[in-house]
Amino acid sequence: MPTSKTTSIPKVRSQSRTRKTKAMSSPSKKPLLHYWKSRGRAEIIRLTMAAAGVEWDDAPYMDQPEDIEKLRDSGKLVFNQLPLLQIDGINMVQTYAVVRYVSAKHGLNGKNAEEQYRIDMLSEGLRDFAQPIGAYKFMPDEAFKASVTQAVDRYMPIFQKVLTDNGTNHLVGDRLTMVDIQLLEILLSLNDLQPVLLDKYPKMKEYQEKISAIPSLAAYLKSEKRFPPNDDDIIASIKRVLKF
Amino acid sequence: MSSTKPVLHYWKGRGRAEIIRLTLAAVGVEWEDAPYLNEPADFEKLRSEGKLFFNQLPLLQMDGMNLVQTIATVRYIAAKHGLNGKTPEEQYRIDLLSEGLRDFYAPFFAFKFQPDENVMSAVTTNINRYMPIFEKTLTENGHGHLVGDRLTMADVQLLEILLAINHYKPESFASNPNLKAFMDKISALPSIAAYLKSDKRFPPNNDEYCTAVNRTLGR
Repeated sequence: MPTSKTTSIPKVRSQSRTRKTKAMSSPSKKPLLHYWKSRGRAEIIRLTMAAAGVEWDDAPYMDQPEDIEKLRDSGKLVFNQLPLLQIDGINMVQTYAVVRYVSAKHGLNGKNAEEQYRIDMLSEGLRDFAQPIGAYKFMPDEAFKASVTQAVDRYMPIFQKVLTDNGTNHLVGDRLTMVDIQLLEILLSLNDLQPVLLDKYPKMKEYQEKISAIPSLAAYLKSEKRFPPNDDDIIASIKRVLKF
Repeated sequence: MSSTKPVLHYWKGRGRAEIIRLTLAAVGVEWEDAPYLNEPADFEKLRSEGKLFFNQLPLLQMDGMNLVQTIATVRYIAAKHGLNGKTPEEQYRIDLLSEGLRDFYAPFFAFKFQPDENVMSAVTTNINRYMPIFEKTLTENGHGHLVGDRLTMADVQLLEILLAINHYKPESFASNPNLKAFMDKISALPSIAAYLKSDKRFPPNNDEYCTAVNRTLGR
Protein backbone atom coordinates (compact mmCIF):
# COMPACT_ATOMS: atom_id res chain seq x y z
CA MET A 1 0.00 0.00 0.00
CA PRO A 2 1.18 3.56 -0.51
CA THR A 3 3.66 4.98 1.91
CA SER A 4 2.61 8.46 2.86
CA LYS A 5 5.83 9.40 4.62
CA THR A 6 7.25 11.83 2.15
CA THR A 7 4.33 12.58 -0.08
CA SER A 8 1.59 15.11 0.18
CA ILE A 9 -0.42 13.41 -2.54
CA PRO A 10 -3.86 12.85 -1.06
CA LYS A 11 -4.91 9.24 -0.66
CA VAL A 12 -7.83 8.84 -2.98
CA ARG A 13 -9.27 5.41 -2.49
CA SER A 14 -11.38 3.64 -5.03
CA GLN A 15 -13.57 6.71 -5.52
CA SER A 16 -11.83 7.14 -8.83
CA ARG A 17 -13.54 4.02 -10.14
CA THR A 18 -17.02 5.41 -9.77
CA ARG A 19 -15.96 8.80 -11.09
CA LYS A 20 -14.61 7.31 -14.31
CA THR A 21 -16.96 7.66 -17.22
CA LYS A 22 -18.42 4.25 -17.86
CA ALA A 23 -17.48 3.03 -21.28
CA MET A 24 -20.50 1.78 -23.14
CA SER A 25 -19.91 -0.49 -26.06
CA SER A 26 -22.52 -0.58 -28.78
CA PRO A 27 -25.75 -2.44 -27.98
CA SER A 28 -24.32 -5.49 -29.76
CA LYS A 29 -21.43 -5.47 -27.22
CA LYS A 30 -18.95 -5.24 -30.05
CA PRO A 31 -16.15 -2.72 -29.64
CA LEU A 32 -17.19 0.75 -30.81
CA LEU A 33 -14.78 2.90 -32.81
CA HIS A 34 -15.00 6.69 -32.94
CA TYR A 35 -13.21 8.43 -35.82
CA TRP A 36 -13.70 10.13 -39.14
CA LYS A 37 -14.80 8.24 -42.20
CA SER A 38 -11.14 7.84 -43.12
CA ARG A 39 -8.10 5.66 -42.50
CA GLY A 40 -5.86 8.03 -40.59
CA ARG A 41 -4.70 6.96 -37.15
CA ALA A 42 -7.56 4.51 -36.75
CA GLU A 43 -6.58 2.27 -39.61
CA ILE A 44 -3.92 0.29 -37.77
CA ILE A 45 -6.52 -0.41 -35.07
CA ARG A 46 -9.01 -1.62 -37.69
CA LEU A 47 -6.42 -3.83 -39.36
CA THR A 48 -5.36 -5.29 -36.00
CA MET A 49 -8.93 -6.10 -35.03
CA ALA A 50 -9.55 -7.56 -38.48
CA ALA A 51 -6.43 -9.71 -38.20
CA ALA A 52 -7.60 -10.92 -34.78
CA GLY A 53 -11.07 -11.69 -36.12
CA VAL A 54 -12.72 -9.08 -33.88
CA GLU A 55 -15.79 -7.37 -35.34
CA TRP A 56 -16.53 -3.82 -34.33
CA ASP A 57 -19.10 -1.10 -34.89
CA ASP A 58 -18.42 2.43 -36.04
CA ALA A 59 -19.92 5.31 -34.08
CA PRO A 60 -21.33 8.10 -36.30
CA TYR A 61 -18.36 9.56 -38.16
CA MET A 62 -16.86 12.86 -37.08
CA ASP A 63 -18.16 15.66 -39.25
CA GLN A 64 -18.66 18.90 -37.26
CA PRO A 65 -16.73 20.51 -34.40
CA GLU A 66 -19.56 19.63 -31.98
CA ASP A 67 -18.91 15.94 -32.61
CA ILE A 68 -15.48 16.02 -31.02
CA GLU A 69 -16.44 18.64 -28.46
CA LYS A 70 -19.14 16.31 -27.21
CA LEU A 71 -16.63 13.50 -26.77
CA ARG A 72 -14.12 15.80 -25.06
CA ASP A 73 -16.76 17.10 -22.66
CA SER A 74 -17.80 13.55 -21.81
CA GLY A 75 -14.34 12.88 -20.39
CA LYS A 76 -13.82 9.86 -22.60
CA LEU A 77 -10.70 11.23 -24.32
CA VAL A 78 -7.76 11.24 -21.90
CA PHE A 79 -5.69 13.38 -24.27
CA ASN A 80 -8.65 15.00 -26.08
CA GLN A 81 -7.68 13.12 -29.22
CA LEU A 82 -9.08 10.44 -31.49
CA PRO A 83 -9.26 7.58 -32.26
CA LEU A 84 -11.32 6.24 -29.36
CA LEU A 85 -12.11 2.55 -29.12
CA GLN A 86 -14.66 1.57 -26.52
CA ILE A 87 -13.79 -2.02 -25.70
CA ASP A 88 -14.08 -4.30 -22.67
CA GLY A 89 -15.62 -1.50 -20.62
CA ILE A 90 -12.70 0.87 -21.23
CA ASN A 91 -12.50 4.08 -23.26
CA MET A 92 -9.24 3.36 -25.06
CA VAL A 93 -7.21 6.08 -26.73
CA GLN A 94 -3.66 6.42 -28.09
CA THR A 95 -3.51 4.35 -31.24
CA TYR A 96 -0.56 2.16 -30.35
CA ALA A 97 -1.68 1.53 -26.79
CA VAL A 98 -4.93 0.23 -28.27
CA VAL A 99 -3.11 -1.88 -30.85
CA ARG A 100 -0.95 -3.41 -28.11
CA TYR A 101 -3.98 -4.22 -25.99
CA VAL A 102 -5.81 -5.94 -28.84
CA SER A 103 -2.61 -7.70 -29.90
CA ALA A 104 -1.87 -9.02 -26.42
CA LYS A 105 -5.44 -10.20 -26.04
CA HIS A 106 -5.35 -12.14 -29.29
CA GLY A 107 -1.84 -13.59 -29.35
CA LEU A 108 -0.30 -11.12 -31.79
CA ASN A 109 2.48 -10.28 -29.32
CA GLY A 110 5.75 -11.96 -28.36
CA LYS A 111 5.97 -15.39 -26.79
CA ASN A 112 8.99 -14.42 -24.69
CA ALA A 113 10.97 -11.36 -23.66
CA GLU A 114 13.36 -11.52 -26.59
CA GLU A 115 10.57 -11.92 -29.14
CA GLN A 116 8.68 -9.06 -27.54
CA TYR A 117 11.75 -6.85 -27.77
CA ARG A 118 12.08 -7.66 -31.48
CA ILE A 119 8.45 -6.80 -32.03
CA ASP A 120 8.80 -3.55 -30.08
CA MET A 121 11.97 -2.60 -31.92
CA LEU A 122 10.48 -3.24 -35.36
CA SER A 123 7.25 -1.55 -34.31
CA GLU A 124 9.16 1.64 -33.55
CA GLY A 125 10.95 1.51 -36.89
CA LEU A 126 7.65 0.91 -38.68
CA ARG A 127 6.11 3.90 -36.96
CA ASP A 128 8.96 6.05 -38.27
CA PHE A 129 8.53 4.49 -41.73
CA ALA A 130 4.76 5.06 -41.77
CA GLN A 131 4.85 8.65 -40.60
CA PRO A 132 5.34 10.44 -43.93
CA ILE A 133 2.67 8.27 -45.56
CA GLY A 134 0.04 9.57 -43.15
CA ALA A 135 0.55 13.08 -44.50
CA TYR A 136 -1.13 12.31 -47.83
CA LYS A 137 -3.17 15.32 -49.00
CA PHE A 138 -2.15 17.30 -45.93
CA MET A 139 0.80 18.59 -47.92
CA PRO A 140 1.49 19.29 -51.61
CA ASP A 141 1.74 16.14 -53.68
CA GLU A 142 5.31 16.72 -54.90
CA ALA A 143 6.66 17.13 -51.37
CA PHE A 144 4.64 14.11 -50.25
CA LYS A 145 6.05 11.93 -53.02
CA ALA A 146 9.60 12.99 -52.19
CA SER A 147 9.31 12.27 -48.47
CA VAL A 148 7.67 8.89 -49.07
CA THR A 149 10.32 7.93 -51.61
CA GLN A 150 12.98 8.82 -49.06
CA ALA A 151 11.29 6.71 -46.38
CA VAL A 152 10.97 3.73 -48.71
CA ASP A 153 14.62 4.00 -49.76
CA ARG A 154 15.66 4.08 -46.14
CA TYR A 155 13.38 1.48 -44.58
CA MET A 156 12.19 -0.98 -47.20
CA PRO A 157 15.57 -2.70 -47.63
CA ILE A 158 15.78 -3.15 -43.86
CA PHE A 159 12.39 -4.80 -43.60
CA GLN A 160 12.90 -6.91 -46.70
CA LYS A 161 16.09 -8.21 -45.11
CA VAL A 162 14.28 -8.99 -41.85
CA LEU A 163 11.74 -11.04 -43.78
CA THR A 164 14.37 -12.84 -45.80
CA ASP A 165 16.56 -13.58 -42.75
CA ASN A 166 13.59 -14.71 -40.65
CA GLY A 167 12.46 -17.05 -43.41
CA THR A 168 8.92 -17.70 -42.17
CA ASN A 169 7.05 -15.08 -44.18
CA HIS A 170 6.58 -13.19 -40.92
CA LEU A 171 8.71 -10.46 -39.42
CA VAL A 172 9.13 -12.10 -36.02
CA GLY A 173 8.87 -15.76 -35.13
CA ASP A 174 6.73 -18.04 -37.20
CA ARG A 175 3.32 -16.45 -36.88
CA LEU A 176 1.42 -13.22 -37.35
CA THR A 177 2.33 -10.48 -34.89
CA MET A 178 1.41 -6.81 -34.64
CA VAL A 179 4.42 -5.75 -36.69
CA ASP A 180 3.23 -7.78 -39.68
CA ILE A 181 0.05 -5.72 -39.55
CA GLN A 182 1.96 -2.45 -39.30
CA LEU A 183 4.05 -3.42 -42.32
CA LEU A 184 0.95 -4.53 -44.20
CA GLU A 185 -0.64 -1.14 -43.65
CA ILE A 186 2.40 0.56 -45.15
CA LEU A 187 2.53 -1.76 -48.15
CA LEU A 188 -1.18 -1.37 -48.89
CA SER A 189 -0.84 2.42 -48.73
CA LEU A 190 2.17 2.42 -51.04
CA ASN A 191 0.25 0.18 -53.39
CA ASP A 192 -2.53 2.77 -53.48
CA LEU A 193 -0.40 5.90 -53.65
CA GLN A 194 2.98 5.15 -55.25
CA PRO A 195 2.94 1.55 -56.48
CA VAL A 196 6.03 2.02 -58.64
CA LEU A 197 8.12 2.25 -55.45
CA LEU A 198 7.34 -1.40 -54.75
CA ASP A 199 8.71 -2.65 -58.05
CA LYS A 200 12.17 -3.04 -56.56
CA TYR A 201 10.87 -5.22 -53.73
CA PRO A 202 9.25 -8.35 -55.13
CA LYS A 203 9.51 -10.18 -51.78
CA MET A 204 7.40 -7.46 -50.19
CA LYS A 205 4.72 -7.79 -52.84
CA GLU A 206 4.60 -11.51 -52.16
CA TYR A 207 4.39 -10.89 -48.42
CA GLN A 208 1.65 -8.30 -48.86
CA GLU A 209 -0.43 -10.71 -50.88
CA LYS A 210 -0.02 -13.53 -48.37
CA ILE A 211 -0.94 -11.44 -45.34
CA SER A 212 -3.85 -9.76 -47.13
CA ALA A 213 -5.20 -13.20 -47.95
CA ILE A 214 -5.70 -14.16 -44.30
CA PRO A 215 -9.51 -14.68 -44.33
CA SER A 216 -10.54 -12.13 -41.71
CA LEU A 217 -8.17 -9.53 -43.21
CA ALA A 218 -9.33 -10.24 -46.74
CA ALA A 219 -12.93 -9.84 -45.62
CA TYR A 220 -12.19 -6.50 -43.99
CA LEU A 221 -10.26 -5.17 -46.98
CA LYS A 222 -13.24 -5.96 -49.23
CA SER A 223 -15.75 -4.46 -46.81
CA GLU A 224 -17.24 -0.97 -46.72
CA LYS A 225 -15.42 -0.34 -43.43
CA ARG A 226 -12.19 -0.09 -45.43
CA PHE A 227 -12.10 3.52 -46.53
CA PRO A 228 -10.14 4.93 -49.48
CA PRO A 229 -6.99 7.06 -49.12
CA ASN A 230 -7.40 10.71 -48.12
CA ASP A 231 -9.22 12.97 -50.54
CA ASP A 232 -10.24 16.61 -50.37
CA ASP A 233 -13.53 15.85 -48.60
CA ILE A 234 -11.80 13.90 -45.88
CA ILE A 235 -9.19 16.60 -45.35
CA ALA A 236 -11.94 19.24 -45.23
CA SER A 237 -13.85 17.19 -42.68
CA ILE A 238 -10.80 16.79 -40.43
CA LYS A 239 -9.95 20.48 -40.63
CA ARG A 240 -13.56 21.44 -39.96
CA VAL A 241 -13.88 19.25 -36.88
CA LEU A 242 -10.48 20.19 -35.45
CA LYS A 243 -10.80 23.82 -36.49
CA PHE A 244 -7.50 24.31 -38.29
CA MET B 1 33.23 -7.40 -22.86
CA SER B 2 35.29 -6.97 -19.70
CA SER B 3 32.29 -7.21 -17.41
CA THR B 4 28.75 -8.43 -17.69
CA LYS B 5 27.28 -4.99 -17.18
CA PRO B 6 25.23 -3.53 -20.02
CA VAL B 7 27.17 -1.13 -22.23
CA LEU B 8 25.55 2.07 -23.47
CA HIS B 9 26.70 3.81 -26.64
CA TYR B 10 25.74 7.48 -27.03
CA TRP B 11 27.07 10.99 -26.88
CA LYS B 12 28.06 12.64 -23.62
CA GLY B 13 24.59 14.09 -23.12
CA ARG B 14 21.03 13.19 -22.16
CA GLY B 15 19.21 13.07 -25.48
CA ARG B 16 17.36 9.91 -26.34
CA ALA B 17 19.53 7.80 -24.07
CA GLU B 18 18.41 9.48 -20.88
CA ILE B 19 15.18 7.54 -20.43
CA ILE B 20 17.21 4.33 -20.75
CA ARG B 21 19.65 5.54 -18.09
CA LEU B 22 16.81 6.52 -15.76
CA THR B 23 15.11 3.16 -16.28
CA LEU B 24 18.31 1.22 -15.57
CA ALA B 25 18.84 3.39 -12.50
CA ALA B 26 15.26 2.85 -11.35
CA VAL B 27 15.69 -0.92 -11.42
CA GLY B 28 19.14 -0.78 -9.85
CA VAL B 29 21.06 -2.06 -12.87
CA GLU B 30 24.57 -0.61 -13.24
CA TRP B 31 25.89 -0.06 -16.72
CA GLU B 32 29.05 1.09 -18.45
CA ASP B 33 29.38 3.86 -20.97
CA ALA B 34 31.26 3.05 -24.14
CA PRO B 35 33.59 5.90 -25.20
CA TYR B 36 31.33 8.84 -26.00
CA LEU B 37 30.75 9.55 -29.66
CA ASN B 38 32.64 12.53 -30.95
CA GLU B 39 33.61 12.13 -34.62
CA PRO B 40 31.93 10.76 -37.71
CA ALA B 41 34.33 7.80 -37.57
CA ASP B 42 32.86 6.76 -34.21
CA PHE B 43 29.44 6.45 -35.74
CA GLU B 44 30.72 4.80 -38.91
CA LYS B 45 32.45 2.14 -36.86
CA LEU B 46 29.23 1.14 -35.10
CA ARG B 47 27.31 1.13 -38.35
CA SER B 48 29.85 -0.97 -40.19
CA GLU B 49 29.85 -3.47 -37.33
CA GLY B 50 26.17 -4.01 -38.01
CA LYS B 51 25.18 -3.20 -34.44
CA LEU B 52 22.73 -0.43 -35.31
CA PHE B 53 19.61 -1.97 -36.74
CA PHE B 54 18.21 1.33 -38.01
CA ASN B 55 21.58 3.12 -38.14
CA GLN B 56 20.59 5.17 -35.11
CA LEU B 57 21.61 5.61 -31.50
CA PRO B 58 21.28 4.91 -28.61
CA LEU B 59 22.57 1.35 -28.56
CA LEU B 60 22.45 -0.71 -25.37
CA GLN B 61 24.38 -3.94 -25.40
CA MET B 62 22.66 -6.14 -22.87
CA ASP B 63 21.93 -9.84 -22.37
CA GLY B 64 23.86 -10.69 -25.51
CA MET B 65 21.75 -8.38 -27.68
CA ASN B 66 22.34 -5.08 -29.42
CA LEU B 67 19.25 -3.17 -28.28
CA VAL B 68 18.19 -0.16 -30.32
CA GLN B 69 15.05 2.00 -30.47
CA THR B 70 14.81 3.80 -27.18
CA ILE B 71 11.30 2.82 -26.12
CA ALA B 72 11.75 -0.82 -27.17
CA THR B 73 14.85 -0.89 -24.96
CA VAL B 74 12.99 0.71 -22.07
CA ARG B 75 10.16 -1.83 -22.43
CA TYR B 76 12.63 -4.72 -22.38
CA ILE B 77 14.26 -3.51 -19.18
CA ALA B 78 10.87 -2.68 -17.65
CA ALA B 79 9.46 -6.13 -18.38
CA LYS B 80 12.58 -7.82 -17.03
CA HIS B 81 12.45 -5.90 -13.76
CA GLY B 82 8.74 -5.62 -13.01
CA LEU B 83 8.13 -2.07 -14.18
CA ASN B 84 5.37 -3.24 -16.51
CA GLY B 85 1.69 -4.02 -15.97
CA LYS B 86 0.41 -6.88 -13.87
CA THR B 87 -2.75 -7.25 -15.95
CA PRO B 88 -3.74 -6.39 -19.54
CA GLU B 89 -5.73 -3.42 -18.24
CA GLU B 90 -2.77 -2.13 -16.25
CA GLN B 91 -0.48 -2.64 -19.24
CA TYR B 92 -2.91 -0.67 -21.42
CA ARG B 93 -2.87 2.18 -18.86
CA ILE B 94 0.92 2.20 -18.87
CA ASP B 95 1.03 2.16 -22.69
CA LEU B 96 -1.62 4.90 -22.91
CA LEU B 97 0.31 7.21 -20.59
CA SER B 98 3.64 6.26 -22.17
CA GLU B 99 2.35 7.43 -25.54
CA GLY B 100 1.08 10.67 -24.08
CA LEU B 101 4.40 11.24 -22.33
CA ARG B 102 6.25 10.72 -25.60
CA ASP B 103 4.10 13.38 -27.24
CA PHE B 104 4.59 15.64 -24.21
CA TYR B 105 8.39 15.36 -24.26
CA ALA B 106 8.99 15.50 -28.04
CA PRO B 107 9.88 19.21 -28.34
CA PHE B 108 12.35 19.10 -25.44
CA PHE B 109 14.99 17.27 -27.47
CA ALA B 110 15.53 20.34 -29.63
CA PHE B 111 16.97 22.58 -26.88
CA LYS B 112 20.20 24.18 -28.10
CA PHE B 113 19.80 22.48 -31.49
CA GLN B 114 17.22 25.07 -32.47
CA PRO B 115 16.75 28.69 -31.38
CA ASP B 116 15.62 28.99 -27.77
CA GLU B 117 12.49 30.96 -28.62
CA ASN B 118 11.15 28.32 -30.94
CA VAL B 119 11.87 25.45 -28.61
CA MET B 120 10.48 27.26 -25.58
CA SER B 121 7.31 28.06 -27.46
CA ALA B 122 6.66 24.42 -28.37
CA VAL B 123 7.66 23.27 -24.88
CA THR B 124 5.34 25.80 -23.25
CA THR B 125 2.43 24.69 -25.43
CA ASN B 126 3.00 21.12 -24.32
CA ILE B 127 3.38 22.03 -20.67
CA ASN B 128 0.07 23.86 -20.76
CA ARG B 129 -1.59 21.02 -22.57
CA TYR B 130 -0.22 17.96 -20.82
CA MET B 131 0.75 18.94 -17.29
CA PRO B 132 -2.84 19.29 -16.07
CA ILE B 133 -3.71 15.92 -17.57
CA PHE B 134 -0.89 14.19 -15.71
CA GLU B 135 -1.61 16.09 -12.49
CA LYS B 136 -5.17 14.80 -12.73
CA THR B 137 -4.15 11.24 -13.61
CA LEU B 138 -1.70 11.11 -10.72
CA THR B 139 -4.22 12.51 -8.27
CA GLU B 140 -7.00 10.18 -9.35
CA ASN B 141 -4.82 7.09 -9.24
CA GLY B 142 -3.97 8.03 -5.71
CA HIS B 143 -0.95 5.91 -4.84
CA GLY B 144 1.80 8.37 -5.69
CA HIS B 145 2.20 6.55 -8.98
CA LEU B 146 0.62 6.92 -12.37
CA VAL B 147 -0.62 3.34 -12.65
CA GLY B 148 -1.34 0.86 -9.90
CA ASP B 149 0.44 1.13 -6.60
CA ARG B 150 4.07 0.78 -7.62
CA LEU B 151 6.73 2.18 -9.93
CA THR B 152 6.17 1.50 -13.62
CA MET B 153 7.89 2.72 -16.77
CA ALA B 154 5.30 5.48 -17.10
CA ASP B 155 6.53 6.93 -13.79
CA VAL B 156 10.11 6.95 -15.08
CA GLN B 157 9.07 8.71 -18.29
CA LEU B 158 7.15 11.28 -16.25
CA LEU B 159 10.14 11.82 -13.96
CA GLU B 160 12.38 12.59 -16.93
CA ILE B 161 9.98 15.24 -18.15
CA LEU B 162 9.44 16.81 -14.73
CA LEU B 163 13.18 17.07 -14.08
CA ALA B 164 13.50 18.83 -17.44
CA ILE B 165 10.61 21.19 -16.62
CA ASN B 166 12.23 21.87 -13.25
CA HIS B 167 15.25 23.10 -15.19
CA TYR B 168 13.60 25.00 -18.02
CA LYS B 169 10.34 26.27 -16.53
CA PRO B 170 10.06 25.50 -12.81
CA GLU B 171 7.20 27.95 -12.29
CA SER B 172 5.03 25.35 -14.04
CA PHE B 173 4.83 23.41 -10.78
CA ALA B 174 2.92 26.16 -9.02
CA SER B 175 -0.39 24.86 -10.34
CA ASN B 176 0.66 21.21 -10.33
CA PRO B 177 1.57 20.42 -6.72
CA ASN B 178 1.10 16.67 -6.94
CA LEU B 179 3.53 16.47 -9.84
CA LYS B 180 6.06 18.39 -7.75
CA ALA B 181 5.60 15.98 -4.85
CA PHE B 182 5.91 13.05 -7.27
CA MET B 183 9.14 14.42 -8.75
CA ASP B 184 10.64 14.87 -5.27
CA LYS B 185 9.55 11.46 -4.07
CA ILE B 186 10.64 9.45 -7.10
CA SER B 187 13.96 11.33 -7.36
CA ALA B 188 14.61 10.30 -3.77
CA LEU B 189 14.29 6.57 -4.41
CA PRO B 190 17.79 5.31 -3.50
CA SER B 191 19.02 3.98 -6.86
CA ILE B 192 17.55 6.94 -8.74
CA ALA B 193 18.98 9.45 -6.26
CA ALA B 194 22.38 7.84 -6.58
CA TYR B 195 22.26 8.10 -10.36
CA LEU B 196 21.12 11.72 -10.36
CA LYS B 197 24.08 12.63 -8.15
CA SER B 198 26.55 10.62 -10.22
CA ASP B 199 28.81 11.80 -13.03
CA LYS B 200 26.80 9.62 -15.44
CA ARG B 201 23.98 12.18 -15.16
CA PHE B 202 24.88 14.78 -17.76
CA PRO B 203 23.69 18.39 -17.80
CA PRO B 204 20.87 19.64 -20.05
CA ASN B 205 21.80 20.26 -23.70
CA ASN B 206 24.70 22.65 -24.12
CA ASP B 207 26.81 23.79 -27.07
CA GLU B 208 29.49 21.15 -26.49
CA TYR B 209 26.98 18.30 -26.67
CA CYS B 210 25.14 19.71 -29.68
CA THR B 211 28.40 20.32 -31.53
CA ALA B 212 29.51 16.73 -30.91
CA VAL B 213 26.20 15.37 -32.17
CA ASN B 214 26.16 17.56 -35.27
CA ARG B 215 29.77 16.80 -36.06
CA THR B 216 29.32 13.06 -35.67
CA LEU B 217 26.23 13.00 -37.87
CA GLY B 218 27.78 15.28 -40.46
CA ARG B 219 25.16 18.02 -40.06
